[in-house]
Amino acid sequence: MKHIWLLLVLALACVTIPKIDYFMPSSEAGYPSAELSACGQLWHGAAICPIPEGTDFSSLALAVQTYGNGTLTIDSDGCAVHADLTYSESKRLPIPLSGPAKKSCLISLSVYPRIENAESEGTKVHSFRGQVAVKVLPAKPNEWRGLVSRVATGQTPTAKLWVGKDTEAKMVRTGCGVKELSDEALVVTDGFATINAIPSMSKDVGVCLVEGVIRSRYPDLMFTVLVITYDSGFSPLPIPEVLLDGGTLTVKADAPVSQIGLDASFSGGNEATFHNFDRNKNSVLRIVSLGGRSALGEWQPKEGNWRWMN
Amino acid sequence: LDELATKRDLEELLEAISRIPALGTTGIVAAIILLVLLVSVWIYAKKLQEKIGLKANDNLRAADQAENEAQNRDASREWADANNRVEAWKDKAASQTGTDPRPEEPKV
Repeated sequence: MKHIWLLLVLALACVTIPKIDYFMPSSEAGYPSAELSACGQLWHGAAICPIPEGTDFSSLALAVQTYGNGTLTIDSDGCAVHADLTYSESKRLPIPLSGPAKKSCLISLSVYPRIENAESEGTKVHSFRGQVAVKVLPAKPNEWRGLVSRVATGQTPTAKLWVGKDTEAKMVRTGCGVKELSDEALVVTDGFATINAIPSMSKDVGVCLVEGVIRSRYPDLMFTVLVITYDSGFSPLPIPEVLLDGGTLTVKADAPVSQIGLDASFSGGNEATFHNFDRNKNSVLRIVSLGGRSALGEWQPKEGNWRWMN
Repeated sequence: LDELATKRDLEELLEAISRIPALGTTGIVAAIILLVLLVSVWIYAKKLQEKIGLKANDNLRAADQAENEAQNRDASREWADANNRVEAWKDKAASQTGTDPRPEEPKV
């Protein structure tokens, strides 16, 4: 009898106290890891969206995934948005943005889950950050492409863009520490141009944006690259092992994972089973840790596989 | 022999217990006060630990938020400048843009 009580207490302790993530926290590393939904897409940590000038910001349909209860901060100098919201459950929380889009802006979001039983034991609970670059395009826009590049310090950020075959191309660009417009020739391979690093991009942890134009025999191609430079000591959360047997989905993630979610259902710990999985429907599978690390799997009904972002 | 030894041990134990003086009312009250004090100290220590833990996380959030805001401010300002430079360049060089229709990007 005594042993049964002991087992029950141990089991309860395992269930209620989330696991500590001993790896470098994402916020400390400058690695954005919030689950974002914007301009009809799912993004991990960083997003870039175009919006026609004058269109209401609400058309971006910006939302962020929250965990448990806590606070969400929204900050954008360019869009003049500064807000702290309190939330009380794990859900896709819409970001209240409104008003006509006049100028491009960068929106920073932070999800701060509050896990009192872990915090009161001295465990640090880290945030999930997100960056959303909103590019306002003029009424008669040039062609425009938006890209996100997350690179570790010391690595070379590169971005690949479709320019079109059989052409020479050159590019002007500025931003990310480069204060003048630089003019340079581009190598176009099979119609794709690779934009290499601006040296100052990869030195420090942080966020910056490159603006540029590619000129070729085709019309000018505008581009914006949202560059996130994070600490090279950071390890993204490994993609979990996922088994799908009929309608049963079994997920086995790394030990530091403290929560697994499939759409609106959540389960504590690093292993979970979900029943009645519908292969014909879009679904999002997510794993998160107390260190603010996360990985997202987007189920592709047509292909019958997961597209992972971590 | 073993049984005899056990019996003797038991008798010695009972005798030792009987030699302990009775606690009396004062002793019982003192024991209860001591117990209450110990429990109070334990509860206080636990509450203090919780407060320290929660405070540490509040500080973490505040520092994180301040860093985020500073980062956003710097990046926003720099991006606005970059946008202005590119727009100015476009206005100047608009006549030199290519005119051939761009072929469609191949699907991967």
